[in-house]
Amino acid sequence: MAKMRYSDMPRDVSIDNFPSLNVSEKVKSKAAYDDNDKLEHLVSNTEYRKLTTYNSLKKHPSNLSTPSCEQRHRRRLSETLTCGLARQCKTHSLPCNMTLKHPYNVDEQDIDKAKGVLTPGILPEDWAAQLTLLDLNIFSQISPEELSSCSWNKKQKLEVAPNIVAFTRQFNHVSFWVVQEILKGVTPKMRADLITQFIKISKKLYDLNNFHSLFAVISSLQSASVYRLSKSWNNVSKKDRQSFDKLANVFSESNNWRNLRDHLETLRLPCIPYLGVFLTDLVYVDMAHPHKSSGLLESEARRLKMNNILRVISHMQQSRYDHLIQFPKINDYFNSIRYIEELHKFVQDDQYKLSLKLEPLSCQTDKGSKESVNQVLLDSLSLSPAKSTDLMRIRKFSLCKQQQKTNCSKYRSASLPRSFLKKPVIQSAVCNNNSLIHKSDEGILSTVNSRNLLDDSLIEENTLDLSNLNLSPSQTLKGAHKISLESCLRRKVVLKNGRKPAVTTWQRYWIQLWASVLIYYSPKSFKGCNRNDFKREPCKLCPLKGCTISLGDNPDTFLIKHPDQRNTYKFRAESDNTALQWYRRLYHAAKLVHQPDTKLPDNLISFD
Amino acid sequence: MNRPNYNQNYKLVVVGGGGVGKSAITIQFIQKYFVTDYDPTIEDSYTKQCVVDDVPAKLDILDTAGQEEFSAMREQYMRSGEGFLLVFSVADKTSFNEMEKFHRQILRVKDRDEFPMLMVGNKADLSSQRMVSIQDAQNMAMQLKIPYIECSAKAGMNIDQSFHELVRIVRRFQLSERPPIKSLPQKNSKKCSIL
Repeated sequence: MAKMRYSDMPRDVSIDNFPSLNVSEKVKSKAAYDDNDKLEHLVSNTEYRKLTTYNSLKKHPSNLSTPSCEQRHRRRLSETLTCGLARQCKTHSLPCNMTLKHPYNVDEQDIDKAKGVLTPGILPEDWAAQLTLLDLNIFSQISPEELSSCSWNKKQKLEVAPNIVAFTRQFNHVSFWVVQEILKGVTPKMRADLITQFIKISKKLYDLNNFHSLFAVISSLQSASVYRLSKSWNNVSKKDRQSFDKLANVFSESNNWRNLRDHLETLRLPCIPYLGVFLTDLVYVDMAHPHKSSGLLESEARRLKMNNILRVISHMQQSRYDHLIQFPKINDYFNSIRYIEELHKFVQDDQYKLSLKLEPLSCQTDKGSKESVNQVLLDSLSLSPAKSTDLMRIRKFSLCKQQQKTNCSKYRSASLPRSFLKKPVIQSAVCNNNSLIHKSDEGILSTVNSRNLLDDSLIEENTLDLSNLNLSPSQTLKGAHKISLESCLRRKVVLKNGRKPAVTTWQRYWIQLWASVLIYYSPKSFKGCNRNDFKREPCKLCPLKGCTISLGDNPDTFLIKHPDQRNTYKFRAESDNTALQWYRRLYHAAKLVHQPDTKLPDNLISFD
Repeated sequence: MNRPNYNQNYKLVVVGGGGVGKSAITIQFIQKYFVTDYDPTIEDSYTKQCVVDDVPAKLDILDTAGQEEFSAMREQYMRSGEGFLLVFSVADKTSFNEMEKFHRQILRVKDRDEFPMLMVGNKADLSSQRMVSIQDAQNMAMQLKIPYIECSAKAGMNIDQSFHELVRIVRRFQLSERPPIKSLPQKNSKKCSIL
């Protein structure tokens, strides 16, 4: 059943049909495992691991490289299994949660393809260990001649540098697997769990000094297909995201990979480096000191510099990970993931398409729209991109970029009101805003933007005559930056996703009503209710579309109910009066957005 | 003149298939005369200060020559780039055919419809081995909506020009994306005086 689900995924169609061209050793060793399979089925994971530990301790690590030794080791393992198992199996208690969480295939302890990296009972360290053993196997076989040939990316690479090629393929394979796994998550939450799991694996890889697989995982998290999944990333806990940032920073290419180079220098073995940086260095040495075509004599400088690099690599090749436990099931699982280097670019395209399907660019669905509005707004407020991971993409939709930008700087300066009452300025601002609406097809975006700059009413015409308005200067000024009301409010969660949270606290925010969107500013300190006590940059935005506004039990409170998200928030204002004012404004703002299809009046609606 | 307060650090990325001469172009640009002293492992081996259109610029060049086969990490390093040199060899048709792929990948990573890029045909000195005609290359550049330049790292032809041109493209792009805030009041004040 699990397999069915796996193969149902559209992305697999393109890859599953091709036979694996993968490193032959793995296939061989897989064959070696096969005769053990039946035995393993009898054993629980715990038993098995114990036995394998026992075995891997006995075994010389150098054996890893040769398939015949590998087989010998397997045979030894199976002997141990047959002798000891029957008795051990029952006497041992099964302490691990793996068997408890593993209701359907206890007898067949394969890694559930549908669950993949989240297979219960297999911990991040198990994955990391297995990846490390796989990497070490290939890494230790790379010969200095392969490296000094500088032809691992040339046509004859397979003959001249087979192990470097195998090592890079292993990198791409792991990376492919990570992206594939994450995209298997149907909901943002599921994808976030997968991302979290990979971050955990990354941490373990870091602890093991395996920078090869670590970088493979980190790159896949930063690949276009995964990195753009902002909804999924939002579900990843802050702590995990910070760990990810830290790890990603290790592989920052700035200052000629300074972080990575420094880190490698301080390390003690065992360690599997990311080979790429060394390869680039070698290419550059090769370039700066080319082989003399005439004489056979290598230039001294070339030899010296090449050797410096080769020495470092060969030192690292002495790494041993004898303490790690072999986990053949994970091995089998990796081998069963078909990956063909030659098709990598098509695979990447497929993955990107799938990623687009999972979280479309323009969030046209209602669920997604909240976020897109947020980003459009954040963007148009010209805030630092740090707030939103991929602000960039929204720019695509802000069609009159330049004009919009000019607008933004106006909004900014508008917080210090000045030079506003010039009619042409307003007109142009309105025009720009409006042209943005007409070009954009997004429902919410247009409702947000089709509000007038002056008092939140909907605009039909491109131009607006100031003289038609009977507004006091203060109102005009307020309208200039679209803030119809702002004050310090306290907010409390009443319902989140339809459920009542266990603990709720009053959170203090500076809140602005900006068109029909609430803009939240988080506080700088614990006290203070003035604008200065809150950060300059908003922390969240919340469109009022479809919201129900009601007054609270106490006169200084009111409620906002988001029907789509099934969230309800309670707000508390400084005074009853402010609360009432907020209530009235919000009520109108929400009501107006409710009926975007109705014929709108030419002129404006005044709230007061 | 050209907004001296503007950020003049540029992260330029050199992309292209294996063997197209990326490293030759980079090394030629960075270290014109002292190639023998070159140490690829030190921190500033890929930075260069230069003056483009009378405005100084510090270029940080990322060249992943030798890492082409690590295709999975390409998107990660593309993310930080502000401008891209898409290099192919005019003597290698395959490398030319890859241009579109790189172009698409950059736009995808940047999530943009356009981004500062310059297509560079290297090894232009090998006229006898030329497999990609200027016309073909220009057509491709037009299709990708990026400019095209031919150079030769070996002959030292058009190397500086390529990087400088890319800096100009990046400047133009950044100017259109985020006009410097300080320039606005200046403009206004000028307008006032005219009126």
